[in-house]
Amino acid sequence: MKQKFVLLIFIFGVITFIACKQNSGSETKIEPLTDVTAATEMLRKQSEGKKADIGKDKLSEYGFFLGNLKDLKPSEGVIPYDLNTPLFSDYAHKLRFFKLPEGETVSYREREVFAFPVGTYIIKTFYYYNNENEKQEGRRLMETRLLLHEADGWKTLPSYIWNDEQTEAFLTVEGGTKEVEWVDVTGEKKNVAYSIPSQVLCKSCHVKNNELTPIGPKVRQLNRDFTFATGTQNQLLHYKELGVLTNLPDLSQVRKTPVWNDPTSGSLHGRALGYLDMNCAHCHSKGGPGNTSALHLSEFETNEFNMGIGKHPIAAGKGTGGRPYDIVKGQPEESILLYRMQTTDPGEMMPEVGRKLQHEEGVALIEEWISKM
Amino acid sequence: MKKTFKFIVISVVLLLMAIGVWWFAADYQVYEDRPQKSLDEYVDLEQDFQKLFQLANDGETIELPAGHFKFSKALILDGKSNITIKGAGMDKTILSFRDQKEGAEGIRVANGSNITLEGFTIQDAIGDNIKAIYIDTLTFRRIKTEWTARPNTELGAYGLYPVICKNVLIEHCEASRGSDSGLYVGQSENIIIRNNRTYENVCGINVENSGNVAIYNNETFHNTSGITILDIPGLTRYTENIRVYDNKIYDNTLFNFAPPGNVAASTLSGTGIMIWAGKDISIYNNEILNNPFPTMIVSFLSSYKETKNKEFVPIAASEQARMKVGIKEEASLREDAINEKYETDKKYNPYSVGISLKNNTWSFGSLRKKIQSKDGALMALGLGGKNAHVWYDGVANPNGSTFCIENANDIKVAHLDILNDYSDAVIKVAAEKCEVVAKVQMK
Repeated sequence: MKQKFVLLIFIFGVITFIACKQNSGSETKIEPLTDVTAATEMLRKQSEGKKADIGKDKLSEYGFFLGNLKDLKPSEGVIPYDLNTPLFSDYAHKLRFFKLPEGETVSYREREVFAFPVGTYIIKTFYYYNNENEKQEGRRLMETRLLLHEADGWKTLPSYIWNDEQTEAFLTVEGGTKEVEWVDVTGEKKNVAYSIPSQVLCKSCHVKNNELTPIGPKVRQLNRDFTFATGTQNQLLHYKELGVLTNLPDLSQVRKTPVWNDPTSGSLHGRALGYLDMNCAHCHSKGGPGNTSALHLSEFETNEFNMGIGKHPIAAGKGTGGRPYDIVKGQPEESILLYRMQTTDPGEMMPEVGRKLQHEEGVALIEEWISKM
Repeated sequence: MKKTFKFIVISVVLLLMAIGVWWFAADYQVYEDRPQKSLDEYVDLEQDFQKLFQLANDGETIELPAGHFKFSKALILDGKSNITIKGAGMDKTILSFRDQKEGAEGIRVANGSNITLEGFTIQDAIGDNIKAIYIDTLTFRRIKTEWTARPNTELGAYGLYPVICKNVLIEHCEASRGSDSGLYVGQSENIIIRNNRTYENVCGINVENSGNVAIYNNETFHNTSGITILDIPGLTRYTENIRVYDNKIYDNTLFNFAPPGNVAASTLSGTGIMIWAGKDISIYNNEILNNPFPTMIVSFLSSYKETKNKEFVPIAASEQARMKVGIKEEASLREDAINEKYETDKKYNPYSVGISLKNNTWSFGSLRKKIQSKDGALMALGLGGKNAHVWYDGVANPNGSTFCIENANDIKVAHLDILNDYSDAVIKVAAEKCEVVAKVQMK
């Protein structure tokens, strides 16, 4: 009796197996092993003798800095600047300079990035303090990026990557990744596989209406104090005194982006918009690559729908985090915007490039802003 | 004696079960992970590839060698013109992004003109496989795009993803397992999509906010929806002048695995062709076989279901109807959002208008197919198991016709009367010739 049962169950099993088997997924043919030598040769032959068309091999060749290169002490005509609310780049600090061609000036603009004359360099060095609380323990320079204004428009030069000895930075077209660790302000040890963009990746952010453009040096971002070699002064006034900035109105008439993490500098709304403007609007604005989504995160956006409030995502994929709208008033945990700032999955996160870590303090700002809407 | 009886009963039950399983399985599509090489067998020549893309001069052909290659970052071609990226063949050059760490797409082509990509396979990018943005004159030819794991929400969204492009040709491509769309074209104009095969995606072919589009000679099967055409407010342009003809659209009963929150997540499993707002869309000479919902024609106003409990309710439904499924808040929120969209985008038309259907071959699929498509089964039950060729939400443009069906003999239209909570939902034979079928207006 028992055997018959076993037999029956066996037959049942076989039938089921056959039935299921006949419709299983399609097969992908697996090709033989790759001929690495031939492939390498084919690839290299095509780039043979080609060089990125601009850029000196070493940073020191430009003569931007005096003395010990790693001190980044600007030479004559190399002018430092800082921003009220910068782009988050995995907690890296940035030291920024611009250099106008001799005798040239730049004119005030109310909203847009300054129209720097042809021949201008923008020089930005990314670095980490070994210990945020003990800055005298030194810093590690990661890379220096250059933007050059040529007759036919702005060019991103490939990044100059600093050597471990911190004596020189070398041009590297294809970018790279460098491990870095530091102690943050809370005394916690942090580390990241810091990513240095390839030359072409720069364009992912620095493009508007199909043209390359700097992002940071707008009057509202530059309107702040800076400690120059000559003392602390408002940057715009300093540039005016240097004779490089023309047509500057009275400072009371000049726009100013609040400092994102300084509540005394502006309202929560103002700081949140300023933060989004700097971190998102280079893509998410008319003419930017993020225009496809109709989500516009510029400081000047007044339309709530375009700011993402009650707006469905367009092509967010799994970047929605399962949430229905870009922003749900009062509900940060239901808002896609916040999810995309929190996640570090490259297929989901925003910005799409330029960070591997979550900007916890930035997230907290936007979270508070949405929750108080 | 008793024992023998019991034995016979049990054997009969078991046998019936086995036959049942066989009957069901004979038609049941199973989606497994595709066989894969281990990543160790993929060659890492990433730096050489990156260099090649970056240093390419205008007018050149970038030749990709045969073999399996792996990448950790996106490959980018930006600001170049007259470039062809050519592999050794669809199944000969295989680029895997399974190990991708940076970049939101496998290949990104941006800000250029006259770009052709042909003859390779691209797999498993973390976001989209190939995105093209701001390109004038773009060709995809013999490209295979796929995700190799079984369909699930973690897969990347778009296989081929041209957006804000002009003069786009997609031909002889194969696209599968996109958690949004296999072949997608958005906010673009002058587009030909022909001779492609798309399968196991949420949307096989998806055209969004695009104009002058011809979709023909494609085979689209085993997707959630074979072909989706839609128009969304607030974007850079609108959907108009679309022709869909000579396609084979069959067996689209895959469950919907789009991540919630996306428009594609609202697509019903079992859809042949979905038209979701848009103007002047002709559908003719297609074989639309074994799809429980051969064509759906809906307005953007009856966008379905919300994310959390995945209920299936039109936003335009009454408060009472929403209460029933417990999504009151979300639905009203959504309604606000839609209203806001109208205020924002005055030129937007939320209705499907000027839709014409002619000379298509139809079938609805077996009960087994309908069971596989859960939505199909539900709908079939809801309307007494009746079939209809056209599923229409009943939300008509107050100023004109919604659709017309030529040679309407035997073409049945399910008129869902969504604005009145399905209260007057009927299936009726469409009238002869082109006629305004819908007369219900929004209240």
